[in-house]
Amino acid sequence: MGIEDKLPSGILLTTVEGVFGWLRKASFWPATMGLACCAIEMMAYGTPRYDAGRWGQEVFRASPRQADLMIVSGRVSQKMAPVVRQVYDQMPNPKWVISMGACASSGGMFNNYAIVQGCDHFLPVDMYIPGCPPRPDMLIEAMFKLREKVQQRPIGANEVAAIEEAERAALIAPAKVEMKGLMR
Amino acid sequence: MSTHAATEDVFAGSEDDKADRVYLAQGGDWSDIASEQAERGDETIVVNMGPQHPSTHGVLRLLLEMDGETVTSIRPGIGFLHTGIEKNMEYKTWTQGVTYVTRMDYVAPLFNEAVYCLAVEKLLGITDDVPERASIIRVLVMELNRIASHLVAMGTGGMEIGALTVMTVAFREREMILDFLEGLSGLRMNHAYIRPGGVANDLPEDGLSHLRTVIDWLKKHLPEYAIFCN
Amino acid sequence: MSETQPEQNLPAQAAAPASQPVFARTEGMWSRGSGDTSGYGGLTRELVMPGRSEGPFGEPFDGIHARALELIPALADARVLVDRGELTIYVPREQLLDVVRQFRDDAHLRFEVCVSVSGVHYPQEKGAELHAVYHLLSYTHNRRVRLEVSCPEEDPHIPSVVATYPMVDYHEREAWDMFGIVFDGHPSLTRILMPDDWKGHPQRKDYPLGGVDVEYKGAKVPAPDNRRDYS
Repeated sequence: MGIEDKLPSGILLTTVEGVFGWLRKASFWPATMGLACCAIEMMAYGTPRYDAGRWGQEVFRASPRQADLMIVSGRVSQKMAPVVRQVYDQMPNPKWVISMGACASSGGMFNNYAIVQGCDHFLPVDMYIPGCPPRPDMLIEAMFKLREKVQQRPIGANEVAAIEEAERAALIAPAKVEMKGLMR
Repeated sequence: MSTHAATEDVFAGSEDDKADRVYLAQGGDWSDIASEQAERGDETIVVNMGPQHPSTHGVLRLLLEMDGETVTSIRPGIGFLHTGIEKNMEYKTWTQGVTYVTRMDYVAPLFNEAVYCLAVEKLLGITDDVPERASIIRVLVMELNRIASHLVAMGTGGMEIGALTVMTVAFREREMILDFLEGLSGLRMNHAYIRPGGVANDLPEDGLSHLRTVIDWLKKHLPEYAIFCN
Repeated sequence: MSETQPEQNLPAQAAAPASQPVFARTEGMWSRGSGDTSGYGGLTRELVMPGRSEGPFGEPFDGIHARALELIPALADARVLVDRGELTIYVPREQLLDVVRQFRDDAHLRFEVCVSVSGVHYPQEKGAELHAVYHLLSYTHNRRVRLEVSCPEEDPHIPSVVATYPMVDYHEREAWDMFGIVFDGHPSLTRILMPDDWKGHPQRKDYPLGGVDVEYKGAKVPAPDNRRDYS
């Protein structure tokens, strides 16, 4: 990709990672994927009271090619799901996905034929936000948690290693269905 | 005037459509014909303004037939937000139905609730038994919601044409209204507040004074929109 | 909000509509016979639709009905219902186009707008399972009327009124998509709410809700249509 791929792992790469992470999180541009009620709260997130411009996110990019972050806000219907996936595919790496609201995270109150039960059926999600709709304050909290994650993201050789590690861990982890007795 | 253009298509059958422009290709002249047609520039192009688009707030797919920058016809494609709400409501009680109906038009949720509750009350025959105070609160809350919804419309409309500050001030006003609705029903949006038989709860003790504050704020700030947009 | 209904619009002494035969009887609220201790198990309900009304209905329904009979004599034995201040005329599907055209064009009726076309599915009403309900609004006379057309599931064809009321284009597409009512004469009867290649008609009563059991760490909450036996 770039010069950072050629850097060997070590102090230099870690420093560059820190700089990259800071740059990415400080100018984190969302792509508009406002679908339903949560979209109104997402718009309110960009407006003066819950100002997203404070941390560089007031530009909601129209084109996915220029966006880092996709906030899936609202219920994803069966007809809309391929469109969402296509928009996600058009975003360049690195990209993150926030699934905002109950409907985007799990189908919400609409457990029926028309709504995909969670956008994680077709997208890899980094942050889930509960709520119907979640207040913009909750979106701010989620954004800050995600910014931590963005800061820590490894690059270059470290990223390749991290992906392999994550895959190995996911293969040996027990399925959620088998983890019993944890609902209390 | 090209040597390739003909006035009539001598090869057309009787059932074929009448052509706008006819070219007779005689061999070795394809690039001439293609460039001539390209220069004419009178064809309309079909643009898909797809479901995800900054202007289409919410999801609406528009197939535009455009002649340059002028749109000659539009075919909308809808259904990207079909939720099956009515079918879900078949499995709920009448009061739980309010929470579903309220999410149909999410910018003005109280109107959906009011319509649904009026219909339910008519079916039950209790329209006259709804307390008058509840009816008045319903109207009050619906009016506030109407203003909030129009503020969203103006804000996003201004944003489309480039007047970005209209968006910020519109939402600032909307936050005032949503504060009141939150104090009343507990939720900023999709309040399941109007229920069959009345409303969920009465105004809080400082409800009316809060309302007066909101109205004064609106009165002071709404004239700004005329200044912004003119 | 309880709007004060203009008194002159309410039927003065409309006879209560005679009901249709009972089409279902339900006992208990839920969990039929499976240890339900709520006390609702003893409830018996008979489900019945409001049937037909005999005239006079009171103004303005009498005016509409009389004028409709003048223009379309074949409607003389059509079922009419005046219930809760609303007039419903059950139009046989063969007469629908004629009725709709007269309702729009005649000066005394002048129902300029068809506000919506809804589909309804009554699986118990054998031979007339699918209904299409047309709500007409007259700006000139400030009144509303409802036309209801039914068709059996085996032959779900109803003539399309797009030629008279162009705005029902999308409404009829939705009724086709959700219920499977084929509107003959519609310019483009395609799926509108579901994806174009969807099979089945979702809002029919025999179409399952389609929910998924919610599972998380060993606990399972069934989908809404499986949780209880809704009588």
